[in-house]
Amino acid sequence: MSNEELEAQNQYFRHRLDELTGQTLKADARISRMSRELRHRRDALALLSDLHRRVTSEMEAVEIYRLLLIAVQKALKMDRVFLLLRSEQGVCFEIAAGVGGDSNSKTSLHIPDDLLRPDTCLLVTKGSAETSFVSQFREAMGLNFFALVPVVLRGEVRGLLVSGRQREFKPFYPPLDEHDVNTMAALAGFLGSALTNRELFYEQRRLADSFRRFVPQQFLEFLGYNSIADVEMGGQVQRKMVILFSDIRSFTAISERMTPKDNFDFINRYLDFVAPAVLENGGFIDKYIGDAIMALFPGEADSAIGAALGLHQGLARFNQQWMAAGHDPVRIGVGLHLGLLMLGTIGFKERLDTTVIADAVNLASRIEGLTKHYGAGVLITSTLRDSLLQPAKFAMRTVDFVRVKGKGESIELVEVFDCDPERIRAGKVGSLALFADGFSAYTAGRFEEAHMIFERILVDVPDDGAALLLASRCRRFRDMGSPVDWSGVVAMEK
Amino acid sequence: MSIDTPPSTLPAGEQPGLLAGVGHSELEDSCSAGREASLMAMNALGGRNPRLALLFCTGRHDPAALQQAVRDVIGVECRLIGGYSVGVITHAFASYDGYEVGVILMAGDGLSMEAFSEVGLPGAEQILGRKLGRRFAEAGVRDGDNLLLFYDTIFMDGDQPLLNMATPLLAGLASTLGAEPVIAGMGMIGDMQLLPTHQFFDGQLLQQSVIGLLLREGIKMHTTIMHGCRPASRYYQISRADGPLVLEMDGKPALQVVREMLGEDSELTPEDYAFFLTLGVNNGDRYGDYRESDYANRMCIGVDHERQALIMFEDDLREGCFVQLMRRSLDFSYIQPSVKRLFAEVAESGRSVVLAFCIDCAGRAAAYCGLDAEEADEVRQAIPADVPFLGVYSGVEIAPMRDVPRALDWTGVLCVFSA
Repeated sequence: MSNEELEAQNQYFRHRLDELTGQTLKADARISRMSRELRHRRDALALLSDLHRRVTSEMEAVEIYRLLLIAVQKALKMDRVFLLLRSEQGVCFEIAAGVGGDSNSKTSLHIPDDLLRPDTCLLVTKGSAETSFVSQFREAMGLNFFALVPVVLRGEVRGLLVSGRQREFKPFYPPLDEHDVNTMAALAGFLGSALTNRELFYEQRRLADSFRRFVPQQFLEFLGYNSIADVEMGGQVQRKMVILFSDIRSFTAISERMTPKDNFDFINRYLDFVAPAVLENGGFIDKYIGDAIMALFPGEADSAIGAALGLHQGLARFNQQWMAAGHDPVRIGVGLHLGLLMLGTIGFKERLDTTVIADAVNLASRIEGLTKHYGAGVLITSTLRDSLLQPAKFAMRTVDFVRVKGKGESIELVEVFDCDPERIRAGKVGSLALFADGFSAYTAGRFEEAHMIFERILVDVPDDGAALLLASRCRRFRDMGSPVDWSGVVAMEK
Repeated sequence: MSIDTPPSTLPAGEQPGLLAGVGHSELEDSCSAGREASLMAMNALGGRNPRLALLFCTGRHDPAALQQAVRDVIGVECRLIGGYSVGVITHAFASYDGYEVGVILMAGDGLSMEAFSEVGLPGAEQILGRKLGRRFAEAGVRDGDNLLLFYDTIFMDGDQPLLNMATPLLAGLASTLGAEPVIAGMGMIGDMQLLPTHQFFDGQLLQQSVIGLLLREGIKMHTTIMHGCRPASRYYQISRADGPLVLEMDGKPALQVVREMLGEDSELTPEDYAFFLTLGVNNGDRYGDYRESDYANRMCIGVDHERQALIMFEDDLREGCFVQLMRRSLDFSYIQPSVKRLFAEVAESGRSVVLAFCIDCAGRAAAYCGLDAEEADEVRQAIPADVPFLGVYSGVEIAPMRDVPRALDWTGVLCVFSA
């Protein structure tokens, strides 16, 4: 091969090699660019996925902001990221959170209306027009190049997500572009959804709290429901519980002297003092019936007695204020019984209610009605007394055997008198043995002996209601004769 | 030669009289991050007081708060040296561009060191190199000692970032040292926007500084260079250059040469050449087999349209120099053998590993170079798990090539310290 041919061949291969080098470099550049774009999108998706996993409805808003802003800063390689929220007055936007800059700045920014649309984003790069807003915003945020996207909650622009860089530097920090804006818009959408969910969560919780005030949570739980929304018609369950009834004595007479509004004000004020005792002692209020309270206690029987005494303590505080206003004191009676109940839902699909169905409920109600006969603050059945874990904690005495209307068997009535004024309580405690003797004589039909004992008790405790009642009854049976087949049980027809 | 790492007789990181511990953090608060990272490193020292701390953090941190937080943990007697890096590499992960902090602590009576700093780099790299060299000469530096260099890579000309040059710095240093220590190091940057950086030197927070740390007497630094680039072209001869500007190659304007190579239909504009075009200098046999250790790479960081020139990271591509366009390797299989080979060399020398320290060009991180995988993952996975290890992302790397310290681009330098 001649020198000329060798040189031509050399030139040929040089050109081909240069061409190949160029092709290789171009291919490498393309691969790099595609890889960057892919990484950009992959990072954004990973970011959304991570946020979705970490952000919960119960999380504090500032923690959600922090997670999001840090994520934006790291994934999009931004110098600064801010969340601006509409001020309380709704006119300006203020920095709610930020990373990479002064997030405590009290800067208040007026944003032009045309940027406050749910679908409007702003991208400011080196080539962007320098409007007065852009200049002002650059200075306030300390960012030369930035993207601004709306944070929309329930269709309303409530905030703005802003992030950007102080410098553009190719290829590592190229000018912000529509990919950045799209990623930010997706993140702002996520933030809007997270905050909306959070708002809805707390609204729902408030709503549930409100419902809970109408339908006790415990009631729902007994029926196996988590929330009121799960309630279906016909759900029912049987449980053994203490039923408590309380009622204001002579409420009709009191209410007759009041306007309807005063009536409601009076009842609500009274309930405000007494009703918390039920919840404080582990019970729940099933319903109010006018001035009456019906409460259920699924736990220990002792706590139901504690609640009954608590009602009286609340009443004493109420009476202090009530009497100071020139009124006569209000008195209540509380009746309790332990028995099987059916808890369930009744009604039809358009109007449901929860209810308790049981003889035990009627009995508790009747016992409450008997309190006024014995001048007792609290009357319970022996069934309840016998189930107490610590009966010695309470001052109690048996005051009667009765057969209430519609019931075959007799009921032993037990008075709990810890709530009596101290003088009366002390007198009753002091005469417990004597009262028991009198009551034995009475049930045995020795009415003269019983009468004398109760009269002796009344000398020391003249306002002992049960002693008064039994003394009167013994006198009557002594003078007029006892009922046929006397067994110590009287029928209470009313 | 076997590339498996023979076991050392003592646990790595704990040699007689010498102990290293490493900690890291990604906390956003600088005080908390400094405390977390340094406490983690302290725990590894098993109650011994540290005598040397190397501290690295990204530009997102408050450097003064971080420095003080670390100082509060390590005590006032410990020397504290370091500065910005784009991220850190640990046994567990490689992470960058966030709030990364890395701390190396060294303790033990066997640690002999000297450290000096000089400030005022821009335009005075060679002068500062000479000053630093004289100070180490006065301190008695000897052949075979180990010198770590940390310098500020960035200086701002108004809003425009410019680079301090490592080549004149090294030339100045070599002219006054009076000995030939093993030199490795890094140009420090805290982010890839080339924003200003800081350096830590004991209680001082410096800028535009160069810091030298001399480790000697019993401790030895072994290095390996991992470019990840292979030649992709014929040789071009630089026919005209001016400092870091390559004006002409083969007698043609440099931009024209590249443009002709890419073709008129190329999507690539000259603005795309920055941090993409890499020129390699083969210091070995020009027509022999490819040997990674013979190549020094120079990355293009911009173009000068007016002078039709490529602006390079360093100013050592002079007239007459032959260069090749280099292609970045997408295959990382070269990394693990290089790392294992270095550990094997240490073991064969009868010494035990105390610490592994990696200086990795930040531009090689996947997010910046447009690769799917992190080459740093290959490095960290190849380091034995019981060796205290920290890597940092740098702007420029310095390592010995054919026993001469050189400034390198687009390179990973692994330094293994043995006792």
